[in-house]
Amino acid sequence: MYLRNTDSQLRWLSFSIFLLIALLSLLPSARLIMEALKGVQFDMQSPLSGIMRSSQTWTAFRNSFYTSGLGTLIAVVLGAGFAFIVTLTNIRARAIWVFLFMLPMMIPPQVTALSWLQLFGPASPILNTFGIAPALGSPNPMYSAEGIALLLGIQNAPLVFLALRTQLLCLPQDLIEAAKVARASQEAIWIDIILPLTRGALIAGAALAFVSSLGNFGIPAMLGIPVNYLVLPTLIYQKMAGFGQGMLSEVAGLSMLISFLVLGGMIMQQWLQQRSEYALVGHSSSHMSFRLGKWRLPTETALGLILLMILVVPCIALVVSSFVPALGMPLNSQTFTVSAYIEMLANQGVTTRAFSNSLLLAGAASVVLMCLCLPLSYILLKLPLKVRILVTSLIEVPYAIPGIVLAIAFILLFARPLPILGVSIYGSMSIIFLAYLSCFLSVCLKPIYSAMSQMDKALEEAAQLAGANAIQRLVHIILPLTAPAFFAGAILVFLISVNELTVSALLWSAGNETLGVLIFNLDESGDTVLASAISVLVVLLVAALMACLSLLAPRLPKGVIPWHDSV
Amino acid sequence: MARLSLNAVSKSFGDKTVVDNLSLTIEPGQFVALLGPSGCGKSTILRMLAGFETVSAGDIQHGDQCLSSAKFHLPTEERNFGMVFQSYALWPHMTVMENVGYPLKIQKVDRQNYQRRVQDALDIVQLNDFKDRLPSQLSGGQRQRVALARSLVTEPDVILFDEPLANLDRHLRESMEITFREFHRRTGATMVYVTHDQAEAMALADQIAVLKDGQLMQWSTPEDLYAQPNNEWVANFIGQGSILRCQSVLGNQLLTSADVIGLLYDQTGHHGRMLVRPQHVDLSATSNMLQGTVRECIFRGERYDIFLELENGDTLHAYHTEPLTIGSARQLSIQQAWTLEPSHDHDH
Repeated sequence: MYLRNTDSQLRWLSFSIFLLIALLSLLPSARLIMEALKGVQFDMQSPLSGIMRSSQTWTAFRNSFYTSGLGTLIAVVLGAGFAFIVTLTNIRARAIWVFLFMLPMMIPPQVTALSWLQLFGPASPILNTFGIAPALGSPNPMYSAEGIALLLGIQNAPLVFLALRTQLLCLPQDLIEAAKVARASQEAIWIDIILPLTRGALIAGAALAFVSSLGNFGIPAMLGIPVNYLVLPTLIYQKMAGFGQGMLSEVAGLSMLISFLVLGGMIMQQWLQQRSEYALVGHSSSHMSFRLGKWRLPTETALGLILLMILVVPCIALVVSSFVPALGMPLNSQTFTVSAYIEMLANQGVTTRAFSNSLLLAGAASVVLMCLCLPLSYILLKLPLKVRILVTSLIEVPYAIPGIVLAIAFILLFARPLPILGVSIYGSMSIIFLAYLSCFLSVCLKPIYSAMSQMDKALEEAAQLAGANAIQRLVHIILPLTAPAFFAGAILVFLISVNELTVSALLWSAGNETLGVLIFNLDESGDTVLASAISVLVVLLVAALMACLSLLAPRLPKGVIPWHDSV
Repeated sequence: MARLSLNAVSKSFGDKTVVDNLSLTIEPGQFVALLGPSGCGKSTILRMLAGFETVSAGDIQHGDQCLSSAKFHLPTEERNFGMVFQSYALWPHMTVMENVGYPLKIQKVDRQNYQRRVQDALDIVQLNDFKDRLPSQLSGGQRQRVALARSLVTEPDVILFDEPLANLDRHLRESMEITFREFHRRTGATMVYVTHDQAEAMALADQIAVLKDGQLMQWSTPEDLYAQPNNEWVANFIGQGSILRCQSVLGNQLLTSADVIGLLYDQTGHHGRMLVRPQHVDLSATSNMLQGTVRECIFRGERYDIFLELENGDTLHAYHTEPLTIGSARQLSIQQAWTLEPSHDHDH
């Protein structure tokens, strides 16, 4: 009866939308649980109990825990340090620091891994150029648990940074001023006021980083598989590639294991966060800043050096290795060549195909999701609060569960031909497309939903009084007023899906390669120079899209674009 | 033009009743104000008239057409009402002309008519020179006038106003009040105006409904509301004045100066209440005298507000042309007063 006030147009619209959400969000998870439970019999031969008894499973489990835990620690140190310094001090050029620090999150993990691999090891073009490469045959230090953890830490540090920065930005200035009036020293203010008040955000950020590390596939795949160091997502990948008997039930069981870990992380975060939640009252209009004084330049230099290490140098290594004829050669005026780029664009059919596949998938996913989110947010806002929270959290589910788990769920769903239609979409691009829709619905919905909920309701009511029906109101009033948010949602989806590896690594098939898969496969088969060349283009694409979003930022609700704020 | 009537209308959200068994009959062409403190249900009544809210019981009729009842609900877009919102609700992506013309566009009015009717509407609010501007390029008062023009462009029978002056400064309010009165005279439309500001309601409306906690307290002309409030709560809410305790007395009667003295000096009871408006207190009187002590004296420009303590401890509000010394004793007379039905709440 919630929609009693609205007309029939809205009624069928909302019905079909909810059906779609159920299909996209609920069905995959439900199917996965069914498959995993199918093995639960009191029978020691069942695939699930086999998985549970296998030492391989528990080694991967331990490895996952170790790399994710260590990675989270690194992410917290990096992210929190940057957040405190960039947000609370009078450092110069804040916006640029924020943008640069957010970049590692948006660069696809397989590209990050590739660039770090190029940085160290005997074949490193940079080290070779300077003549300081280790002797041939010595191992690349990145191929290790610690290497994986380091990159997971760098990749996820922006998550901690964001969570903390958002909290710091709404920390009322008068709390600090009150402490100063009480003659507290700078150290006392930090220890007694700022840290306790931001503990919740720090925990939330750490939990996010941990969960995201657990689900990460690209980094452990590039750094772990070559030395047979397996974590849960890469174990699933290898099992899928191995095609054993009862394989589907086994991977479903492993997926459940990851899901439990993720769930455990989230529950712990909720619990810890509830214990350190304070309602902040006060003016947050003016933004806190500690004067660094003579320490400003040294601080900026230190930040610059860290960014240089985690972002610039690996990118340079990537660029350098894309311009050498073969890996292991130094870059100088004799060896410089653009042959990798020429080969990539001209000769390799698979490269252009992967580019067009990824662009097509990302383009289609962003356009479809954008069109879907218009009526969806509109209807959501008409629902009572409780139902609204339920539906939005359902939409969050596919985004929260690791990509590898979602991919398995989609394989289980579509391994057999579709009922009634009799066609199979398994092994076609459609299955990747559907998985993207499911995965990125919440990415697209968030900016649109927040823009719509901030719109004055009277604007729509005025149109209603003017005699406009639901569709007319959507098209004439709501769409034009929330258009920037629509573009932002679509660009975000495009940005994330164009480089996506985890989902497509399991769902791709010959002829349907995506960019992420291509880089991964080229690197696996030793075509590192070519992989680097493609990665350079991918990084450029990412940076360009992020810059596009920054241009839209002034017309968007606050918080829609993570690396941009008006402060 | 048709009569708008609410018959025993109730509205509840969950188990909270916001409007309780309200009946009102609004004659065609009347300017009606719904007046009450925040939370009295006045906005909900307006939103039920507009069709944004359904009714829980009772019905709303417009002429012989039923707009809303517990079983039936005519959607807003089929009602042809105009409305002016507190936030103006101008569409920021459309020019003044497009904003005003939007209702006509929806009705698919042909081009020539469209131009003419938008011109006419903008003429009424004197905004023809601004028709190509965006709302963001207008001042608060101009935006309000665009909203007015939009509400009248389809020549609706009924125009609803939801606290349209709440966001304007005092000076602009006064000039908008004049605009609204002219607007009412020119269009002759029925107007229902929600406000919490009694001065605004008095200045504009032919008929005022005073509401409290979803119930109708009084339904009368502004003059009657001021001179003859129905009960103690309304007397307190409307205008300035003092309510004095006196011997038990029948409510709703006009007292003369001599009656007042008699009721106040008789100490046999204090359950009666009378309302004394400050302009009816004579501080230089020579007959029918009472004693009071000056407790406060405030300069208001054209006069002084004087608060006196009477012998029984009650406070009396009076006007005077000169300042009085605080603490001085003063002789006074009350020229007339209005007796009140005692109401049982004293939380005002």
